[in-house]
Amino acid sequence: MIQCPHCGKDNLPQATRCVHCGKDLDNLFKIEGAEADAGLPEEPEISVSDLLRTFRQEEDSQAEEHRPAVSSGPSAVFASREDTPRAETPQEEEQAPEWLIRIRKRAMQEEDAAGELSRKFNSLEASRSQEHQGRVDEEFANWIARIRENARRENLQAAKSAQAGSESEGGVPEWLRRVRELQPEGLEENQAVQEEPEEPRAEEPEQEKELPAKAEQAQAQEAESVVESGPEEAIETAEPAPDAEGAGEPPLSGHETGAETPPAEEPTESPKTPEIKPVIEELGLASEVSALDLEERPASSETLSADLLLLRKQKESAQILMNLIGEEGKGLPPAKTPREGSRGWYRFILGAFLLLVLIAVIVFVPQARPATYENPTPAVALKDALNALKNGDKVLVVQEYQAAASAEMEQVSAPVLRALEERGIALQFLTTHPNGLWLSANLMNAAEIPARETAYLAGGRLGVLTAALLADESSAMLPEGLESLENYQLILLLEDSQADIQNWIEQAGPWLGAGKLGVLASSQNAALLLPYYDAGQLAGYTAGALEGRVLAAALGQTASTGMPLRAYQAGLLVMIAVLLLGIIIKAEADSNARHQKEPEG
Amino acid sequence: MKKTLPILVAVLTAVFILAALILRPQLNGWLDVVLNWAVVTASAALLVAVATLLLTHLRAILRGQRGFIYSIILISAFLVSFIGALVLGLENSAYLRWVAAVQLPLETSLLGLAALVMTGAALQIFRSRGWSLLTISFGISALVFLVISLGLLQALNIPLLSTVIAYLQRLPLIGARGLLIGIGIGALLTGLRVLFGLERSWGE
Amino acid sequence: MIEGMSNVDLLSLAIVLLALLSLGLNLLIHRKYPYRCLRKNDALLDAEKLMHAAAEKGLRLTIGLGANPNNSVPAPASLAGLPVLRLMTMRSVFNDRPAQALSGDGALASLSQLIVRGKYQNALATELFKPDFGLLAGAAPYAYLAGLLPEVNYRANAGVFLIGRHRPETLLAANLADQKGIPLVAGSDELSTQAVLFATNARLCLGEDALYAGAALETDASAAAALRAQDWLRVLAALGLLAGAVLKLLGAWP
Repeated sequence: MIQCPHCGKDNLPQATRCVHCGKDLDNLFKIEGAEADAGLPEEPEISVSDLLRTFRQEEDSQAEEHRPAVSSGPSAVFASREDTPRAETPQEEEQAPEWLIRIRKRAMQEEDAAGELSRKFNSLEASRSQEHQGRVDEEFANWIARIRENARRENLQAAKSAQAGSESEGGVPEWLRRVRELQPEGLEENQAVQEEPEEPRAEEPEQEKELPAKAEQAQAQEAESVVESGPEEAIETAEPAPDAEGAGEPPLSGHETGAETPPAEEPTESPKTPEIKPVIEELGLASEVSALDLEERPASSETLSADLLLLRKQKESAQILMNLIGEEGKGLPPAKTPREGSRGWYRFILGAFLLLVLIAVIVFVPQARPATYENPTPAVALKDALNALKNGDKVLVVQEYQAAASAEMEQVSAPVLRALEERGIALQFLTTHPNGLWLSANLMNAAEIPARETAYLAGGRLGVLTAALLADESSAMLPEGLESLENYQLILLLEDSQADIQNWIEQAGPWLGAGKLGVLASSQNAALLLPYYDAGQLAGYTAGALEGRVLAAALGQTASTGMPLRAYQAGLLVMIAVLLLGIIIKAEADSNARHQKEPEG
Repeated sequence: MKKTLPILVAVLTAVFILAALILRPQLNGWLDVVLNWAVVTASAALLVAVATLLLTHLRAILRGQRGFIYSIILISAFLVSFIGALVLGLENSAYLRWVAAVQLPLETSLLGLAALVMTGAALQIFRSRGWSLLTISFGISALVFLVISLGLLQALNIPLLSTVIAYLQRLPLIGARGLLIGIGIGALLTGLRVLFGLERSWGE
Repeated sequence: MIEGMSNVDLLSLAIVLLALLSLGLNLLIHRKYPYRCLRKNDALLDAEKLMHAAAEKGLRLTIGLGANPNNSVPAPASLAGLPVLRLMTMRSVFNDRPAQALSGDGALASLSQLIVRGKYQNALATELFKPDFGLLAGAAPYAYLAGLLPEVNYRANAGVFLIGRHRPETLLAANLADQKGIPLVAGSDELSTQAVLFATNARLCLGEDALYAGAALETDASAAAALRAQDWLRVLAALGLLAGAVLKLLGAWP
């Protein structure tokens, strides 16, 4: 987990934005030492003189064997940096050219305005202004040369070990021995992993595991460049080095080597550590050193190489980066349940079974008798509203269903329309869907009523609102022949969609009197309509073919044969059976899983 | 200005509609104009979207992209429908029958396919979602309402059973009302955000 | 009181004012940390993870914004997918495969074009923008579904979002995503769609949660305030219902 620098709360390592405060987390793949210097320039701004002064202090303290408590951590670094410009005397300031003084002033005033070049220049100038400039440069050059010599030697050793088949001391490569030196606890686990060669590994996971190992090796080799040139370069060099590929040994990730396991109590300091520590501190990596003290220092008092000081954060970040690169272009894991290879068969069997049942019912089972039982209350209310209509009353039939639902909707609506037509009620057809223009012709055919024109109301919701509010104003948007909605005794909505039903209830309902809207809907909308009916916003409704048949019988009509009721019922029975089957299969799977666990337990 | 002008227009329109709904008789004329604009704008947006779709498929054909044959079918179907309506008119019954003969089986087969898929999903639901209060209640209510939808129990005409069924059929009222209240409040707050220029999903 | 206003009108006005007050208060109270301690929908949080995963794996995200059968001005629920599209596009401007938006409504398709184009402009990468990124899949619900299915089936999909006004037939798209092993995040205000999608592997936004995608994705402070205001109003509505029931039981309510 990483901490948000703004609110201090934990976030996932991959997060680019804090999930708590919403601010950006830009410190992904940064090194802890660098985090402390978040507000500072990219390269550590440390003058050579400061570096050497610290070096000398360290040497002195070693000589005394009682090293005084040197202030470590970022505060010390800040202090030393702040001191540097103040060390310049007024005389030297006078000697400096005017443009330089201006740049310095600006840099002092606004830190961000001091460009990288000017900062480097300032620091260089400051160092040159010291009394022993020559000696400083010489010491610095020696130090750099020493570090480079170390690096060269290590590289040579690594190359030699690679050439020798990457094996030495019982087949263990040099780099692994060094890692083991660092982490003796992780070693045991690691060996245990390596001593299981019976199970051949898949090629892909092996390659994936190699990546972090290479990154680790590269980091080990580049640790000195961290010391030399700061954390940013370390990130750049975190890519696997080409020579690391020859290692050919089972890889070790940070986790495998036990990098995160707490160390043994009271770890002793290795002799080289004091030499490196002040340098790292000066470079802003002091916090890393303390982290190392806690986590990565070996329990034994064996010698530590500077280039083996693997920083945990670096390792984790590199690991994430490598994983991301490795995963590039690969498919995602399945959504929730793993996908099975042969999953299609059961779908085919189920589908075929359902179709066979439906066909068999349609062909062999006779039509259902007219239903004589009572519908639910809303359907009864609609029946009453329809029966209350008198000869000459106007009913606006709003047709808003899709072609797919036409079989069900025609079965529900046709008997009602036929009954109304027979009683001399004036029916006017309206649609807000382009589909409705040709579906209404089919409906009129199914209802066996004379064909008439269907008006098209453009604008959907806004059209409905306009029709409800402005029908008297002869709005250009309203179709010809459409009267004010208040003039209709009933507005009969033929609907298969919640959105369209809500359009009329919400846009037109408030402007119409109570009991003006009646709905003939497809079965899936029954649950939605109930609250509206309960609130008095609907005169009544009938949902689905079954209720439609009962309503038709109540109105003295016979239902259309568009959708055979027996086949519909058979389909529902199949659904019930499949649902039960699903419950049984799940219960059995759970039971099996429990039985398998019990003997193991 | 480029960003504020659309927001300003949205806010002013929303405020006007709200005011016109309250002060209806006085502002009816203006309300008609604004609603007409909105409908024309929505229709123009549809035209733009259709044009974009056609251009995309034309480009696919010209470049010979994979599956360009479907693009040819799409554009051909569009042209035949469009020119047919222009030449024959929307009142022409032959034209309407022709459109119906294409669209009805297509949509019906999609719905039929959805029914088949639903059957498969019913088998999988407990496997994929596991046992939880939600899935168990979902399963029970699905079974109960499927049985009620059969209509066989109602046909028995047993008074006590009819009462129980009538009670069960009112049960969805509770959940549906809760959901509708939530959705209604959500829509109201979204409307208010539009009203005050806070909702800018389409902005930038 | 304005002439012609009924009690229902007054009640509606009171509810609107109450909503306005709670929205304003929440904006004010949480102006500094608008997303702190905010109730967030898990499905939308998963949507954000999917966006990251898609960017990391160089795959595409597809969003279906829903359909509107009469091609009118979109309802608030139809706009629910737009905040998701905005964030998704913003994060995928420089991806190997940019996000793909599909609409079943002309106005929605135009709005999606506007958003996608705007995001490319903001990123100073207009040369990368193609009109195909925000397409009209079909001008009717089933045409939309037919246009959506091949895009869900696209081989390099990292995930599919179906947020907006979707009909129950969207089950076909959800099932296809299931079969292909593509994660699906769905949110619709239609009750039957919610019920149908529950039978799939989809991560669901139940109820009105889909309306507050901007809050869950932390892209819209006003959406976060609206979500808090909604919770307040919901509590008030529950108390009102209880009070009404008690009054009715006592015979004080006609």
